[in-house]
Amino acid sequence: MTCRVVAVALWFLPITTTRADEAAMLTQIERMSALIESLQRRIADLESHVATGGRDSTRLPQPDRVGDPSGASSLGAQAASAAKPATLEKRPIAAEPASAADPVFAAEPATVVSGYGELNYNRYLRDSSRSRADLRRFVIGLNHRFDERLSFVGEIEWEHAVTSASDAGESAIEQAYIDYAIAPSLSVKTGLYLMPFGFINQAHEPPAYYGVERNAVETRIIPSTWREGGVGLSGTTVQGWSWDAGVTTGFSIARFSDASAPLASTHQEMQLANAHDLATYGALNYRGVPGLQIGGAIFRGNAGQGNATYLADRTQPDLSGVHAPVTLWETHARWQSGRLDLQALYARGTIGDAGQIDATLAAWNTANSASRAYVPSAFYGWFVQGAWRAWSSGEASVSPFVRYERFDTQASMPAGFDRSGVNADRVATLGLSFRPHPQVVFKADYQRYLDNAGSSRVNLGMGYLF
Amino acid sequence: MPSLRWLPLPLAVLAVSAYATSYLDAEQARQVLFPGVTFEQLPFGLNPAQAAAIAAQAGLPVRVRQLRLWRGAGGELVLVDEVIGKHDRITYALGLNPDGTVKGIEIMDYRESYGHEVRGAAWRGQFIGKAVGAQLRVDEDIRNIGGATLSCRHVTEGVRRLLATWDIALRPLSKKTAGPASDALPHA
Repeated sequence: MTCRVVAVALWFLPITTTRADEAAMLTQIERMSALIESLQRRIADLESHVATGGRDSTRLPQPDRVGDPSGASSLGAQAASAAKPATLEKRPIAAEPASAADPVFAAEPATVVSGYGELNYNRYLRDSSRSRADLRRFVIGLNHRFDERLSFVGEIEWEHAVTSASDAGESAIEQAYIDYAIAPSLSVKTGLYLMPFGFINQAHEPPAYYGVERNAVETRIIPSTWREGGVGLSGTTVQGWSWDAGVTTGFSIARFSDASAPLASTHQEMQLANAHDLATYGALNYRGVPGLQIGGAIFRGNAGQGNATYLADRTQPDLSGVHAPVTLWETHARWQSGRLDLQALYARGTIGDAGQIDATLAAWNTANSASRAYVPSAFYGWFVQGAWRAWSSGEASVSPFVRYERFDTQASMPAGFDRSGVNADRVATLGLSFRPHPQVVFKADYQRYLDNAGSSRVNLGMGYLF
Repeated sequence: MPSLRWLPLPLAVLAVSAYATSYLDAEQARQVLFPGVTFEQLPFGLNPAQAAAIAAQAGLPVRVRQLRLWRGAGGELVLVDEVIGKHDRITYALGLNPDGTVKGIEIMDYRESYGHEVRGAAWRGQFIGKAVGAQLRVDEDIRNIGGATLSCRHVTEGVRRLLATWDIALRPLSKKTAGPASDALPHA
């Protein structure tokens, strides 16, 4: 290429330099040649930069050396002297690709459909009329990657098989957020997302946990599947630490309706959520030793929401002046080594202004001949669990487990308001999980409620994740 | 509404954030795995018989027959591979000593919201010294990371597949070359 350009330059030089002496002309030719060579090097550098996305500083081979057959022969000659020479395919020497430029994976669709679900059967031992078979959840995930840093995560959930005005089922958006990778170990997300509490809330697909039903602590105390709308940051370190922090919507105390699950009945799930009061959360986990996870999380935010429910509907209890600060914290640990899987978790929550709230509710109940539930000042729960992979063959496995848990959703009530015994219990669970594939599970367990024996039951379940 | 005091925090972090999304590029991964070693990229495609043999040995499908492979002068090999974590790709580099044992793995790109913990040095360190014949199964000889189970499992499967690849197809390339790597092939 250099020669061709120099020749063209020489062709025109006599016209433009007819009066130049021979020495000046040669000097000019040398300068132009040097300039052309410099430009060629610059073009090669730019080609390399573009080809590697600017991430790998290795230059591309010079164009006339790409696919150099002698190079391929050299590789082939080395391979031919080896033990399995006939199995090597000779390929032309290729440019070093960018790390994410795999020809097959690059063709993966930007939008990925995922899903999980579960079907459960609960057989109550004292009163079989309570027994139920239920397509508990059917969830479709939609994940889309806009580019290497920006992605969307969404989940649509149907519960109890049929959703209509006259049926018990419900459909809900469980997650819908945009995630942006600020740096390799730091990302920010905005939208409706899962709160980083406990084991199950973020990893709630049936193959991920033991037992047909999710444990009581992570449903009654931590209101799994708990999601809020907001902005969150997440980070990890190479030493094994991971952290989360953010600002989100919070609970609405005016929605309180279930004393057996204080926060599950007051979470808003971004359904026209009252947002007078925002909340903050933080979580920290350590996984720096393989098999070990230890961590905790805390959430705090007012649930008064500016008395918005009453101001919109004057027939509701007037909670003016109520801030109802909600604090929920938990700590957890897990140890997985070989066939052993041990877990423990403790969670506790408090609701401020409970006395004022319950006094208002009591007056409202009296005036309306109603029986709205009263708000606790504190609630807590904990469990310990051990599982053992007793049998495995290829991808299939059978893991029996045992769990003991204790919860009290009315651990502390305002003065003058009584606790109900049905909202506290100790539960012993014995069961097993059969996984024909790591992402498919069949479960069976027996749960004995030690304080409310009428709730003891046998459960069967099927779950999947893809 | 005291919580709003925290609102500037994410904005502040955004303002000082870096631009890169990759942990390492291919060249950096090679240097982390084998500091000071000069590598050459080797063009290498598995033929169908090799792919079938690798799949049989690893118990895993071989979806990509074109390898991204580099060799050092001493017979060190570095393979860059990709697996699916939960829904998205994880790009990683596997370093192999001349005797086929694992020198280390480096996570080059992790794109999903969850499961970043596979990047942890301690978890990756479990692979060091592993060789053909090792189980390389999560909850057997590789411990899991709670909350990142699928990423752990799929990276572990990737390493098992690459060790089978070494055994079936790359073993001859682990021999020490006569001179510097750059002399072995006329590669710019």
